[in-house]
Amino acid sequence: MWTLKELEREIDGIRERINRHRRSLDEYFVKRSEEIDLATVCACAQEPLLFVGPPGTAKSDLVVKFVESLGLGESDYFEYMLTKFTEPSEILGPIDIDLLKQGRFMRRTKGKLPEAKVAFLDEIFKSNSAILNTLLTIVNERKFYQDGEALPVALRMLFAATNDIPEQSELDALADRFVVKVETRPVKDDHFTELIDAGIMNEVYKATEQKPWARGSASFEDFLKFKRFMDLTFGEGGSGSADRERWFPREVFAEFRRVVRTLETEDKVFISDRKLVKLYRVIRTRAFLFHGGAVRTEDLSLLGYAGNRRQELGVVQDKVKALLGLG
Amino acid sequence: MKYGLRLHDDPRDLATLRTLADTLPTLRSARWTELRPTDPAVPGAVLHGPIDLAQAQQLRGLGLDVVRFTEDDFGALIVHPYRPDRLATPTRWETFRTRLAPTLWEAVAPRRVAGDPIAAEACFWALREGDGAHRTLERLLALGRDDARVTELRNTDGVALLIQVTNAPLYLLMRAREEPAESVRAYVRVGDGDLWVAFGYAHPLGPMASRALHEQRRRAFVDADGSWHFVAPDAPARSIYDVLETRFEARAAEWTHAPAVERFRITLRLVPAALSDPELWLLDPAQFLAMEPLVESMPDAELARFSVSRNTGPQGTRYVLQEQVRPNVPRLGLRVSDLLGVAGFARAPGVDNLYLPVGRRLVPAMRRDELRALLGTDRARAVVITEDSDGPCIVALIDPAESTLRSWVEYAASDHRLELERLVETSVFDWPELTIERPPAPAQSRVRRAEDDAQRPPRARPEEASERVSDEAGRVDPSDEVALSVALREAMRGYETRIAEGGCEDPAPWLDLADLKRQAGDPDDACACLEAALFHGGLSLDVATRLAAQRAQMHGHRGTFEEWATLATATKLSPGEAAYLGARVLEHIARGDGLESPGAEGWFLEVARCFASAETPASRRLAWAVLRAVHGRTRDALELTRAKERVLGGINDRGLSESADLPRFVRYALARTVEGVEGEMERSRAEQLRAMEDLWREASAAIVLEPAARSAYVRMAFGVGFTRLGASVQAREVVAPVEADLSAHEAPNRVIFQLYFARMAHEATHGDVAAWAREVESAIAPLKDARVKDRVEFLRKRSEWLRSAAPASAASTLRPVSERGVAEAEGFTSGVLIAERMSELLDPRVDQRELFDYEIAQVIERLLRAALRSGSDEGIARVLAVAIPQVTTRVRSPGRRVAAAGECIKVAAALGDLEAVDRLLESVGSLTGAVQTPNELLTGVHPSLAALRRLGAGASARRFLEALEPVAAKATPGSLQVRASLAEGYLLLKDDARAAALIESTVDDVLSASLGHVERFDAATAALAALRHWPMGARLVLVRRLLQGLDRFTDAFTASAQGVYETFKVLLLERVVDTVADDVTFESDRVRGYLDEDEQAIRRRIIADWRSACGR
Repeated sequence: MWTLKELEREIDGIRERINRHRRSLDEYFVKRSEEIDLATVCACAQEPLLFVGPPGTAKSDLVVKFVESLGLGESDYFEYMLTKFTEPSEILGPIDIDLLKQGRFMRRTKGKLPEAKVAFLDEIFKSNSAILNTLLTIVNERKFYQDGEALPVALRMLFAATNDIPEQSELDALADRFVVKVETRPVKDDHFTELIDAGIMNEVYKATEQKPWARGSASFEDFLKFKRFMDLTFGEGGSGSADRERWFPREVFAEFRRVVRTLETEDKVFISDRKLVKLYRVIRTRAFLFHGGAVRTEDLSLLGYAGNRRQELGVVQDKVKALLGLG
Repeated sequence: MKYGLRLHDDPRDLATLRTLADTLPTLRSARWTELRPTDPAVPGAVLHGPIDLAQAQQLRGLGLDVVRFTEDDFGALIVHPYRPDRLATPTRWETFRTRLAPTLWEAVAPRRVAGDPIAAEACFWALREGDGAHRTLERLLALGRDDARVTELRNTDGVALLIQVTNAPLYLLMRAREEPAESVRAYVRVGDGDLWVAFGYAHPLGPMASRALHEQRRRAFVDADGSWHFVAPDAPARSIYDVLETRFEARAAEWTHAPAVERFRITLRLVPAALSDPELWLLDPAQFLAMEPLVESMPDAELARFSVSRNTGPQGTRYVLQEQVRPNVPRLGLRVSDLLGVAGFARAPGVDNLYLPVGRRLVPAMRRDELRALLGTDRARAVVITEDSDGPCIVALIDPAESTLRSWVEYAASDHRLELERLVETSVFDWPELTIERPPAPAQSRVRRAEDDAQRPPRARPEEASERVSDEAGRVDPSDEVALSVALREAMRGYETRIAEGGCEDPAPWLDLADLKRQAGDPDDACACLEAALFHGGLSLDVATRLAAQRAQMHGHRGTFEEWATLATATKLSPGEAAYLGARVLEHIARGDGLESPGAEGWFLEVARCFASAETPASRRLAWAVLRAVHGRTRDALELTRAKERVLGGINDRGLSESADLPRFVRYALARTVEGVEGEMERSRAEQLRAMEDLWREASAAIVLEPAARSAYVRMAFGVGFTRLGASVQAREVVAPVEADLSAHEAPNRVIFQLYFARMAHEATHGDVAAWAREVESAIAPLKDARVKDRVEFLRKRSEWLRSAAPASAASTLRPVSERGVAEAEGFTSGVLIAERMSELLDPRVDQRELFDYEIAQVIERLLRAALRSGSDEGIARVLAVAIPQVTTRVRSPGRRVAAAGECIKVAAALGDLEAVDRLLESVGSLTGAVQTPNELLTGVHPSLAALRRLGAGASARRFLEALEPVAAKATPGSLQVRASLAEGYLLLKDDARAAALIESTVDDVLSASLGHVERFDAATAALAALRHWPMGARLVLVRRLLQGLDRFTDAFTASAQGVYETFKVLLLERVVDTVADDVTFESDRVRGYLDEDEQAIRRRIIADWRSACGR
């Protein structure tokens, strides 16, 4: 595994490549820079990202192009649309009958979620409880149980999509794992012409089997290194406060606290202890990725994606912008 | 030494201060001093006031922490706890600060409270000139809080803004507290008084201070460090906007009015618009007359809603047909348009008398008065904008002479007999003095007579009718055409009812009825009667001659010998040609004409071959009459026997045909006798269409909130239904949204929708099976993505509409030896041989083989079918005689036995062997408790119900149904299907109440019970299949409930459907539409019953003739 010293030599180059990857991907979409930025930040922080929006708002297209541009192998990416009838074997792999006869409950995971490095799960909240429980373990603990034994999963980036966030308590646990939730809205009303132009070019690329976005600005390894670098710097001072004091200026941290308290108190946005820490990490990751240094007020805009319920998402985003004076 | 109270900066202070204020109220408004260590690490303070020794002792007695303090020479404060009883260690504060306060409240500093409490009302205090006020106002506006009120306060430091906000934004409060550099202070109101304390702090004596301030008419703001600021309570507050000066950096330009000198020329044009119901039609005479079928089927109430005017113009005569639209009354326009193939015109929005082509609108939109002036709607009764290849045309109807469509109807004899009879009956019985209404219309209004008489079928001559009927009616005035018509009708009615109710094997009534039919101008029915008379009465020259003459006249044949000889050698005959050929052959044989001519024998053999074939489109009566005459002429017993077996084999295989074997009048008579006229009307296609419209109205309202794919499936199902009922305009309207969004649907759904569109075209054109298979193939073949193709095929194979071939029957699972024996026997034409082969195959002694139950059942089933095809009743009976004991003794598995017994019941019913049917029904009934699942029982129940339909009710049938009831009442899989079948059975036994209760409870349980996906769907399908035998009214109620409960029909086809479509919902929609727009109707049940009875009569006659000819 890479050491901090090794990474320090490379990190500027890595940052540069990932940012180029982010900007170049943006060229193939209309008004999706917000979603692309979030996808990039979450990929760097290895935090799952949830897209919430109606069909036809480029959710899966965005993920597919993002993944294609990383140059991953076919078996490294797993994509599936979940329904309430989806069975665990469709996600985790079928049960190995030969081993079952020997009394071992093992799944053949090749090509399935446990072996994928990047996954996209569409309509994630439509899955049944058996799948939800397994997903919780995979997302939270990065583990997968085979015959009672916890095995690490290869998953590093998880993207999910849903038309709606159901108001059912049993889904709260999974929803809470998605620290960042972004609402994807249709853009045709404001960007009619650009959308047609981009759509036509996409059709052309599809018909001619071209993937110009897959230019390989950044590799999957770059993202892994970035995450490793961030992990090492978090613990650099030997305590959490060291990181905060170095990278989170006092006034920005106070602002962070004020916004969180406001969202909790006035907008009743539930922010669990776990989520708060993850938000801190993601904000730090964004700050370092975008400008290579301490957190700025604009990085706190990530708090705008901390809403939980469908109806909260837009409100919270607007509120955070207003509080931070960003628009 | 001075006395004071020790404060600890904790909750104890609150009790201390309140006790002080309550015990010594006079000291509240005395001057107090707070002494507090400068070092913040040292907690506490001393509150010093004018307390004397006695008061100090009193307070000490109340438990307060009373202290004495002095200042030493170095300026340090020495604080002694006041304990009169013992010495206590003093505390030394090296440095301290002193704060003087004119009252007790002001002497006490606020305390920090935990957390960030919500403020019901807060104030922000900031100097006007600093950034703080500006930023606070800006943020409040950004948060949408323009309800804030601003007070401007002036003192020596300058002007300060006091911004008061209810439910103040927490963010701003926190920011004011945490960012002192911004110079904004936030205060929260204590209760609803005049005291405001710094956000995040609480004053220990807040409520008391607030009351005191109120009495003093002062408002106070307390800082975190205990500083007090006083403000007059009535300082005026203003809107936040009053303190803002908004600016917009933009250049200004001014425009002045300039009167217009020119007007723009805009061409009004017609463009596509949403489809609406037509309400006006411009028809040429041919189109107007084409309305006849609609007019004939319309009740008076509907007829009265149309008005007609005849107009002339540059394009000749045009009839203007207009529907009077009434609120909350279903529109009839689409039916008219469908019938005429003319889209019609709809009223333009906003202009009462302007009509535009349906689906068009005028653009650009104009003011109503301008539009009226432009199109001249003020000068005409109505203005219609028509459109053709030359563009739009304004047709002004200046003063049309309108009358109701009812007044344009001239009642006359026609093929639409039942309608006519209904109308005549109404005329005669309801208004005896009135015969038939004739409209006092102008000469040109008799369009029907003037323009259509040439196409009308020949009508009965009144004098001829009067001759015939006068004997029976006696009292009828020969000059009264209507009375004669009524008498003729009544005479026919008598015969028809008799024939329809019980059949007739006596030739005389058939001959009488044939005569009446001829007089009534109905040659087709007359010929059917003559054929029946020849069949039952044997060959008669007079009858054969009349039949041949009638047929020749109907079909325009000359009647030469060569002509019929040519027909005899034709490869394919039309129904008319076959009927004429048969009639002519019978006439020639009866007459003995040309029998000796060269080649006659060969022609007769050809005729015999032709009529022995089940493919020849002639009635079985005529076929047997011809074969009997041809072979009887030469007394060829062998050929006659073969002919008998061919005819009976055809009947066994296919049954009688509604089109060839059922005289038309029987169909009408059945409808009349069973249901009455209203009932017959209810069975009509129009009624089915109305039912479909009802269902669609409900379904279309429900699908508004459905996912796009599901609502598209609903639309496609109803689209097919409307197409099947001939309402193509409605069908197009229903599926238009799907067509418009076709490309937006995912690939499997898109392809399936294309298949449904193809199905609509197939239904509309009544295409054949092969064409449909090609259609499906062309839609499926281009699919390259295997996953998409699998999903399309998954649904297609389960769909009644989309599959291109009947589901393959289970492959034979016989062992090779048995398979060879059965396959060979299936080719036998002799029932006797088949029976022998069956005995051999099932005999365990032959090669010591032990046959399994399923093998025995398969052998019996296949050979029974082969026997039926042989046509030999004797052979069938022999096979059945072998089969029944095998079923009852050898087949041990109850499920298999039920299935095999079902096959036997089918054959016994075809044979008319009531005794065997009864015995087998008892056998199936006795197995109801033994079968493992009700599903096994169904294999026997369905043939049994078919037998009931053929043979009618019997005690055994009722017992059979009663034996099924406990099974139907169980809560096991399949029991609901049995219950639905049971309901159908009771309906056949005419126990309507029991049948209704059973079918209703089936539907109740389908919708409410806790069932598996498949079980619920199967039960609903069974209920819908049974409902097809119900009258439409009752049928619709339950169908509607199932449609409303569509959400309950879930499925678990995850691997194949993947949530792209909901399989059972789609399939159920098809069944629902099938149930409403079906071919198997209640009427058909009665017709089927008649045909079954007639079949028995025909069998008896054929066998009797054969026995007589062959001396058996």
